[in-house]
Amino acid sequence: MSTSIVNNGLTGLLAAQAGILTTSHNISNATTPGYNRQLIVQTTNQPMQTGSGFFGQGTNVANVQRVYSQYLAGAVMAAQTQVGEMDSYLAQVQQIDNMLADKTAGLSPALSDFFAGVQGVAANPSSVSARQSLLSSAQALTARFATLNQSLDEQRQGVNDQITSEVGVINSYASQIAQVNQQIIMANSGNSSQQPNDLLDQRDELLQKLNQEIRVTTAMQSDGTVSVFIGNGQPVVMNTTAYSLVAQPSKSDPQQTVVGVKAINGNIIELQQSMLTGGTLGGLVSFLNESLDPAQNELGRIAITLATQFNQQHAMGQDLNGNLGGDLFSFPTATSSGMAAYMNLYANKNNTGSGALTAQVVQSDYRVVYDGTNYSVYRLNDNGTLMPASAGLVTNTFAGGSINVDGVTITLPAAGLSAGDAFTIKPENPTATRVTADSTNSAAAAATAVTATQAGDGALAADDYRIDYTGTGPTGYMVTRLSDNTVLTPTVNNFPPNSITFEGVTVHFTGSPNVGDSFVLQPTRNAARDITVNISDTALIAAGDPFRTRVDTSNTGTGTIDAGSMTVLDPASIPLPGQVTLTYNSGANTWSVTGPAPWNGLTIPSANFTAGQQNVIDLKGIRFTLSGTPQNGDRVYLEPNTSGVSDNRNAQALGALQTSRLMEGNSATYQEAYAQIVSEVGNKTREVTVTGQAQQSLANQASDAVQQLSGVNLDEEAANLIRYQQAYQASAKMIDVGSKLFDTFLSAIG
Amino acid sequence: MRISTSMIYDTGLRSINDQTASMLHTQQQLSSGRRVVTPADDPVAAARALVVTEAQDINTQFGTNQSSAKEALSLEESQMSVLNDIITRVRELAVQGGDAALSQSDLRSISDELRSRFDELTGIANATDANGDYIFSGNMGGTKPFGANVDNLLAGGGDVTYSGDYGQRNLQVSPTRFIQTSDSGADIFTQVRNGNGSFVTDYNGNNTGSGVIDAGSVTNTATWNALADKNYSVNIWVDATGVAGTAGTTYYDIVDSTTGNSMLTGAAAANPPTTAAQFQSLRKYYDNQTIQLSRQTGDPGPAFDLGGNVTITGTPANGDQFTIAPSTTQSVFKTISNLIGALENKLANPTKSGSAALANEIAQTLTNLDQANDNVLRVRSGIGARLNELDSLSGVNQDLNLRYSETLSNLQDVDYAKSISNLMQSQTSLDAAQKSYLKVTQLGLFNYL
Repeated sequence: MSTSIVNNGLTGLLAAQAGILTTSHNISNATTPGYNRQLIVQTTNQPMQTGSGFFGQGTNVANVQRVYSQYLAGAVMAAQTQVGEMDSYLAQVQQIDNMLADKTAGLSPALSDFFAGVQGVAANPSSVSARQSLLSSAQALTARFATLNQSLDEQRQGVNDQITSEVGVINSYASQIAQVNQQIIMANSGNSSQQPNDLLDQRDELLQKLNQEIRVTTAMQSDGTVSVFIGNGQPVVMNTTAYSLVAQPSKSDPQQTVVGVKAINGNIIELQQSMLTGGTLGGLVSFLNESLDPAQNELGRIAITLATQFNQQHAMGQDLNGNLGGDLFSFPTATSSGMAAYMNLYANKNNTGSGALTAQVVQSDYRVVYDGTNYSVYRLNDNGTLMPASAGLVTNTFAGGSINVDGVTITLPAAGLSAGDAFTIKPENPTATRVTADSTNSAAAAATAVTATQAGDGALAADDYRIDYTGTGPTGYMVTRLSDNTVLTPTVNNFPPNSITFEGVTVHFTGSPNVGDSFVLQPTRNAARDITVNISDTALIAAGDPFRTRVDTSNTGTGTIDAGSMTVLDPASIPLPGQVTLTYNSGANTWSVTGPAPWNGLTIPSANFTAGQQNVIDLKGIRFTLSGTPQNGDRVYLEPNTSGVSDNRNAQALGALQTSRLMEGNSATYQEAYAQIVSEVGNKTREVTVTGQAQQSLANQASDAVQQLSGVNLDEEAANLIRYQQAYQASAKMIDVGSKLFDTFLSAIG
Repeated sequence: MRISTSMIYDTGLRSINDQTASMLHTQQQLSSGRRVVTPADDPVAAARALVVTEAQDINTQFGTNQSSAKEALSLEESQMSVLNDIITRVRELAVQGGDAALSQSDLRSISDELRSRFDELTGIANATDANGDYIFSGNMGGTKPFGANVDNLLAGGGDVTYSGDYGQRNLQVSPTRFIQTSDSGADIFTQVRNGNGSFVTDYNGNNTGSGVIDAGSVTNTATWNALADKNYSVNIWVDATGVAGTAGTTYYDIVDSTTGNSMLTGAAAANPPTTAAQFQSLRKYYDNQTIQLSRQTGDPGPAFDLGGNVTITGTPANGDQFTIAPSTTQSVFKTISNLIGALENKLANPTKSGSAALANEIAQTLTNLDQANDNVLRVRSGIGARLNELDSLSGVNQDLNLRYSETLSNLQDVDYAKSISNLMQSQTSLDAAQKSYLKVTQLGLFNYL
């Protein structure tokens, strides 16, 4: 009996020892990350059956258990991968957010200063200092574009580098998890009923860390290992094998670092961006796609639109030397491709065909002239180039039909026009003012007017595109807008041949591509980098208009002509080859136009002139107003603006660009377009901040819940320590009692 | 609820961090004076602020343009004011010069002063602004508008030519208003209608009588404008022998200079009339009686109407002629030089019937000076109206500026009372968090073991 008492005491002693051991393990790991407190599971031994019933045989420690909830751990992982994503996104987007709206470093003050410079020239057109100040503010503006773009580029480089190092971190965690899996298999091989608690803690901690870098899903295997996947099931760890990820420049866009996996054959398969979500890496990838690319594209778009529109207006003016204005802003051309250097057009490295694309942003006005049989279409920005007959443009077979030039669909009426009728097309204008009929057109021409339309609004967008060769459709090429994966319907041009136009960009194709070949086009990405000021001589600023108007001093009537303005520059008519005379014929109420060719022999019909009213007259790109009551034979003149150094008409037209809504389909000024980026980035930053805070508090709650269950409480452990110490003392006392009983028995028989 | 020891530390630290971050943000707002430190604080306000700032910049630019326009107009106005004085002085001198009692030396001094006024006028016409651009040359600011030289004009050269153009410089002074800041010199100096604006009267240089014709007046402009022929003459005939009545009676005829027909008879004018019938078909001349240029009762011929009348004063001699021609434009230079010419002519030929020539010339000059003066007043009133407009625009401009500043302030600026209160609140919370953290972390059963 006393042996049993000693035995029971011994089991209690051992159990108390195990308890103290576990408690001390808990105490020493109280601050170990990922540690879950452990408890001993104590059970009674198999009782001994006797005639008088079952006698307990003491205790034993069945198991050392970690206090762990799979559910709570999952909640922490889910919240923390979001926190990781939001944190890394926020860290990046905050930099742009601060930079773009800065009162001194943003684009806004430079834009305002530039237009103040233009207004300065308008106020003092002949002043060299005002002109110099315009050039300096233009240079400051282009420098500002470049600086902002440079910061964005540096950030892009930084993010790409960070993606590369993230991939390293992910690979390192993956291989550690694979190792721990291996250790767990080995630990389990001895006794599969016991859990290697500390190894499991270690693996859970590694999974949590990996999950903070990128969102993962896990699958427990029967051998105790865990398999880890990213995205839609791309394995990173399978049993004891880690699959390493690779970061490398994308095959479709070398500027972009993408993540790939090495296949068994050694090929690297690029992972879809959409697979990389959650965690730091997910945050970086979404920052690139959602904030950095749009901001840089938009900045480039403002640069291109500002430059082309300013140049277009500037070209209509006359400089101090009496010549037509040249380009104030310019973009360098890449010698290799002949395209503007800012235009990113990448052929996928996997392309197998010989198809090649070039792209350009075309902004031009057009003149359509009918000679009685044929239409001639001139592209005005190209020195008034006549679209060639071979392109099917100069023909009368377009009866009621239409032709596409640079994405502009020009519809030519089949009948009703007379020889000499002419039209001006400004595609950048809203539909209502896009086509202007010359005021010398025959009366019937007004009813059967030429029209011009564009797919969409034709305005340049701040988007990127993928162009795939599918071999089907009118050109075989399919254009997809990358921001929303929409397939576009480009306009197929008659001129230039083999080209399509979509969203303000014209793409020319040559060679023979194979189905599946693809290209990535980023039309505006680098424009802010490249914009430069082309003029350094103050005399070359075109502040005046290339013509002036005059009323003959011997007129007897009160007819007057206003100063007039340029609507388009038609190189065939401007500069004026000499004095053009408009003579009023009171009998027919017409004005006859005489002067050097091509100005000679035109007539403004009665329909376009009412004496005593303001009559707006459009003539070969010049617009002026005839008013008052002229007498028969009264004359007004259009003359070359010789020595017109104080003329500021064009400077004012240039200044008016500041408040004209010329962006986003005639809905926004430059400043408003820029404010939109600031607002978008600001909103994104705010969204990420708020979401990040919400996720952070979710993560805190989840980890608090885990801590409540699994965390070590030192007070509790102290209490356990005392408890096990007392149990130990009591068991020792039991052995002492057993031994004393035995001694009593021996002394009784001894 | 079970609490783990690390939770006590984590939670305490977390709330200290949160309070510090919120304090830092409030401090940033207070020190910068801006509620919107980065666009993320209020993206809508930030974007709106950019647009409003630009609108304010543009408004400021319009303010600057208004000042420039005001400067230019004030400069032009001061030149025009001098021009007005010159014309007034020349008018006085012309009236003085008409005084038959003047001595040769008086005439000489008048003509000398006129010459210096002419030079002064040239100076005004070729005035330059602060940039050295000519004010009155339209858009050809680098081109001297007038090369006026009194001796060239006297020598019979044509009228002064204007070398500028007809452009008007404009400045944008409000979103929709372009204000004219210059007037072309032609408009001010050379495009002056002579005569009464419709026709100009003149005397024939060979006249021997003392008849002086006035500028005449137009009673019906439309009638005058519609005439096919616009050149006429009033011919004076004296019935010296009394063929048609009292000897020495003076008659006049109105003759279409283009056809040579008498308007009174409708037939070829008798030149000179000799028979009684010829004299009787004419009208009798009375000193200072209005000569109606239309058919009157008693005229033998068909109806005619030139739409106006003239008046001849004095005693014209037989064969004297007064012409009526359509108005043209004549420069102020030419008007003054004509006067100088007449005065100097009188000086050179004191005995000739120069007094009638001078009187006619002075009458014409006065008419033309009045035309010039009207023209100057017209331009000046335009300048005055524009200066007035600029004054009111500048008021609007300042109002707008204030409004934009207010809007910007509402969008961006910090509410100090609110932010300071927030700061105090975070400070108190931080203090509490720190103190409680210290207290809680000091607890522990091990302290008692």
